[in-house]
Amino acid sequence: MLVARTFKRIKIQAKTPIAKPGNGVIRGGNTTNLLLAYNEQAEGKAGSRYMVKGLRGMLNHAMMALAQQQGIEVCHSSDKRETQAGVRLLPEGFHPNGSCFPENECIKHKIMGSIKKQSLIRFDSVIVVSDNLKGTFEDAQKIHIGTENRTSLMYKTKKSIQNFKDRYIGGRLIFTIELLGKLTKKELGFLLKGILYMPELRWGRGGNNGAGKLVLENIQLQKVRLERTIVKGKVQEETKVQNLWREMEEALQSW
Amino acid sequence: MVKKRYILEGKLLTPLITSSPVMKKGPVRIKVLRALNDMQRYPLRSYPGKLVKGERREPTVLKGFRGYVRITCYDWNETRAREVIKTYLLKDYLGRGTCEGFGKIQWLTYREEEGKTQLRVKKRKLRIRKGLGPNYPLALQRLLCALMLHDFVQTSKHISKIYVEVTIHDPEIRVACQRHHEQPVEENTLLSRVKYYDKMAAYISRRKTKKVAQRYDYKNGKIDFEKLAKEIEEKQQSAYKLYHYIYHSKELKRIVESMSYGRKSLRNHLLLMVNLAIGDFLKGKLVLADEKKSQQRPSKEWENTQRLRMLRCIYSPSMSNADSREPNQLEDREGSEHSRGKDSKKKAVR
Repeated sequence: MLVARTFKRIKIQAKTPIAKPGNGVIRGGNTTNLLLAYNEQAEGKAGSRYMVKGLRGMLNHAMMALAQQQGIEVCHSSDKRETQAGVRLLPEGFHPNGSCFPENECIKHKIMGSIKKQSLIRFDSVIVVSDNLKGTFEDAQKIHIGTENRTSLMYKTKKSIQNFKDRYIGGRLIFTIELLGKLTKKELGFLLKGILYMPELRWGRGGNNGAGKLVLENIQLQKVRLERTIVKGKVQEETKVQNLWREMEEALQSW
Repeated sequence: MVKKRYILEGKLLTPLITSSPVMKKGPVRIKVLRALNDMQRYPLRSYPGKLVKGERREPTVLKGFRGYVRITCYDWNETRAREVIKTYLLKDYLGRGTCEGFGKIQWLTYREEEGKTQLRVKKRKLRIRKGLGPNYPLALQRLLCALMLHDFVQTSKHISKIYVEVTIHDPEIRVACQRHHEQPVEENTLLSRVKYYDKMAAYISRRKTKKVAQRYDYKNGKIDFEKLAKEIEEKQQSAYKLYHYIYHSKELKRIVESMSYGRKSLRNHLLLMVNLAIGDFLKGKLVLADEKKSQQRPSKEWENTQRLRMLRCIYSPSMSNADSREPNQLEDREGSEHSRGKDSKKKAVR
């Protein structure tokens, strides 16, 4: 049995000194942990894999900021116009998410989609593992994972209320964006410019305290052929990669 | 022919977001497992959420599962089953939130197994009778009367479902109808049986909810409830007459049995109860203790006589429509036949 498919993807290599793309505060606990993907019992507690979140949302906000800078009206991340009290939530230069579809569809909606339409891009899941472990892993990337002890203080008296812990990551990581459909040159150019705008924003929480800085090192547009075969009852995978430098440059020039 | 089972197994690298660990799509069954050998234990859960301060409720929290995935296709056709497996083998992700990286799978193994031969047991479907069978024991007839009248009186839960109360002459049947929503109840009494069959019929028929505001459709004309109650009251002494009346009633077909289950009519509810009771009696499940033993259960002689009667019904054309008609209707028909015969004679003369 043999199956195969070809698709395009954008491969990005980035570096972060410290980032907290956590799962949020867990009720009842005092640690803000990363999202556990899976763990194997043979490797113990240290071998647990974590899923890194928040990259898609960061790109979404980067596209918004880029469009506002260039004076183009695009979809906002939220679909609300105002609160129940009548306070306006929508800033100038944006319309509610998905309201432009199907007439006058904006460029961000074409790429990112909404509840009305499927997105054209998919972020491949980034799975990380602590660099204390020995050996190499095919399914996870090695990165530094640590905890930060913090205390929350009272407003005037500065008395400590309670201690809590933050899990953070730091180091180099690779993430890929799979293109699910055919993108025009303009759309691909806008997507690439959005990715290049990402270092201007902060990733995860604690952005005002210096966390969440992202440095892009390498961006590649690739054409991938994926083949899967079954040999003696086991599934084997093979990929062939081809770089598309010229197409990427043309797309960047078109936007 | 033996069905084959085609099994594809994989490991979940990120949590799969679904409401339940078992999914079904045509011949394919997808199941999330804790381990590949462990089929019984529930898979590990995970609740990924978003960074919204102070809010970790439904829209921000997602329900996911960790572990392994098993996809089984159970089909006669080999080529069709393999094509189904191929579509899943090409996929990298399953479930919701795949654009953010949830539900990533690493496929591990594939195998084919021979399934067990399954003998299909044909179950007899419950059918609503056109008319009651001949010579039912008196105790059963009384029970059927009580079942058919139980919704036309006021109880602790509701008023009469036709708005006008029917006065029941038999005191025991009256008490059974009025108290069929109350507790506790003595066992093997008329009241307990009415309660049991009411619950049973509701359990069978009430599958999907549909709340309605009206008891019946006013647009197609008003129902004369007083006339309806009067006619039911007249026929309460005979179970045969009452069943025949309810079966052919167009008004009861329009009235809703329950306001929260608007799809089911009162007529169907009453007929279903009666047919369940008769079915139980013929199987021997329903034992009526208050009557004599000869009347409790159909004896062999009684069954033989019934068979003979049935054979006569089949072979003699004059007896075929005798049971399910009312005497008034038969008279009318006879009269019409006579008149037709006269007309035909007249035509022949001309």
